Amino acid sequence: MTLPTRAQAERLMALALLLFSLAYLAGGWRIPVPDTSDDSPFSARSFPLALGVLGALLSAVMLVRPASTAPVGVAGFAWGRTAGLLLLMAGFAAAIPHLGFVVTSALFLGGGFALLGERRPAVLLPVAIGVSLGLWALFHALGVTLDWGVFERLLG
Amino acid sequence: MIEGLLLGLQGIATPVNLALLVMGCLLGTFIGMLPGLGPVTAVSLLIPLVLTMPPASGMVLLAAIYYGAMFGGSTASVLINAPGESSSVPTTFDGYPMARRGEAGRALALCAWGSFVGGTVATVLLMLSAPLLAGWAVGFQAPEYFALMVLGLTAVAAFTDGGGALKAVLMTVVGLMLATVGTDIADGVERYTFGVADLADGLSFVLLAMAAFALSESLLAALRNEKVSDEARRAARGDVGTLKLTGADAKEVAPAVARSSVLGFVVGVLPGAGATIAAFMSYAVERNLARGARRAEFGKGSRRGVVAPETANNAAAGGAYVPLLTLGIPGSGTTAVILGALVALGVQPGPRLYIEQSGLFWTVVVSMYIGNLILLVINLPLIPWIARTLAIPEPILAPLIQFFCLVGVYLVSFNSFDLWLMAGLAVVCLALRLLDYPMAPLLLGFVLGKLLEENLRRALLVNDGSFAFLWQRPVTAVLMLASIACLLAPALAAWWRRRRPAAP
Repeated sequence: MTLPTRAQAERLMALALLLFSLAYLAGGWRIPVPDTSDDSPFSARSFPLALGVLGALLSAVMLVRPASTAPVGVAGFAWGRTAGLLLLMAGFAAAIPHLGFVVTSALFLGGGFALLGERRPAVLLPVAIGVSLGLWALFHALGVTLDWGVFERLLG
Repeated sequence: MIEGLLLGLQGIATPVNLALLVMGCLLGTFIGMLPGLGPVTAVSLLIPLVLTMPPASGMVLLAAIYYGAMFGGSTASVLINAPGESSSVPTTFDGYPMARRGEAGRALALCAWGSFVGGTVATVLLMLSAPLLAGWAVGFQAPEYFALMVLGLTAVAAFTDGGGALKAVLMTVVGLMLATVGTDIADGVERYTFGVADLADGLSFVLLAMAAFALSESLLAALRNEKVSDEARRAARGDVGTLKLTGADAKEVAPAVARSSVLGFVVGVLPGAGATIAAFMSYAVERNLARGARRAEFGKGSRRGVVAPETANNAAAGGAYVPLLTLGIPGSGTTAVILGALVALGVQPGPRLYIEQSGLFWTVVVSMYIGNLILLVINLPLIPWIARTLAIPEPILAPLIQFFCLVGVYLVSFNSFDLWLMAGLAVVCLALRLLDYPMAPLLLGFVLGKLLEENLRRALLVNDGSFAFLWQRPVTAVLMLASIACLLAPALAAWWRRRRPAAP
């Protein structure tokens, strides 16, 4: 798959921002106006509508003006690793209510280190587990409880 | 003023606040030293910690982190030619050549002393000017505040680095849009929440700051596959040479330090101008003022070339606190993040802060004095040790930064929704940054959005729905004209550059 050129990428982004602004504008029209605000010069809808129009106008200008010719410079970019890191973040968000802070954190850190190239157990395990436990202990000392999820029962 | 200083000393002279000051300076230096992570990232990463504290302690820690990170950024500039952020770029012009000829320690000492003097002068000028400005601004009403915020937003957009003013203004508008998410206080209706209970109170400032700065920066570094450079490895061995300055050094740089302190402070006070412009301007001024051999040294290891931008950027950091504390208008990305943190701490910066919470104001002022001293006395000798962090391998550093972002957001709300939202926003911010869309206007728009809307609403209500207040009130009219000038300035500058005849 070939990546878009700089000009194409700029136009795609401008289009995305235009669509975002139009969606925001449409959402603004749907904001209910209480009866008490009917005669008021300014309601909950006013600012969003103004911003939506402004955003759409600016994005439209970005779309039609000549795009920058500066290279995006994506040669050699590590897309796979970055996608992996994002997946790990998603995994962290999904797992933390169930596995608790310490286990989820250790898994995230260990997975991140391994993904980016640090696979020596002598480094990976102590740092991942040490940082997770260390932070848990620090916050515990500060009076902030970070739960252990399903492991709560195991720990009593 | 003496009473104020004593009040500030009373506020700072607790073991906790002093410990926070030292910790903030060290942490800020450590984070600011890491390539790509400047004061904005340092402040945004440590906000979750700041929010657990009482307002005075939180403000002390924020100021210490800011100054510490500025100092750390200059360390990276000198040692490895990789400035922590844009205001440290001019320091590389002469700091790195000095390091290459074995004078890294002297260059770092020049940076430290320059930062100390610049920061101290700025604190004195802040102390003198803030009461005057607060006294003048206490009569401001909704129209003046509205116009002042518009000026702050347009100035930051007009002077922001890279990408162009149009992209910056668009990011400001997007930030304002994001600020409307949540419940409208005046009418009590929900806006853009899509029925999600977690959005009823709006987007979290910490979440957006992390996504826009620390997290997207870390993802960008992973994307670019940045490795630890040979310079970083050498610097991490801690061999920087002597950290002492001679009498001849002091005599040589004294005039540059004096000029750069005042220039930096004045530039820092202007909304939008900030430390970067101050640093570049002072370097240019010193190079233009130098004659003969002194001028030829610039770019090859000139002591004035190192000290001028460092003095100016620290003075500008102090200057940026003037509009922040007295008017509630941040002048840059970093002070926008600090403003968000202050509001989250329950502190509303503005003229009322100086009048009604003067203890808080003076505590921050005194903490800046002491913070500058700590940077000189503690941080400078520790540089050879702190420099070892430059060689932390990327496979360890990147996940750690991302982890601290996740934890920081999790600690605010303890729910997964915010984590998902932050990850999603980080991807969007990453895409925007790849195309040179600046993040500082986005965050500034978000931080000021609710206040801007509220002041506009009040101004229109008082004026029966008429916008005439924009030109009928003198202060408002002047501020709006200044905003228009800021918006036109980049286009005029570009037109002027095109008109100039090309060099033969």
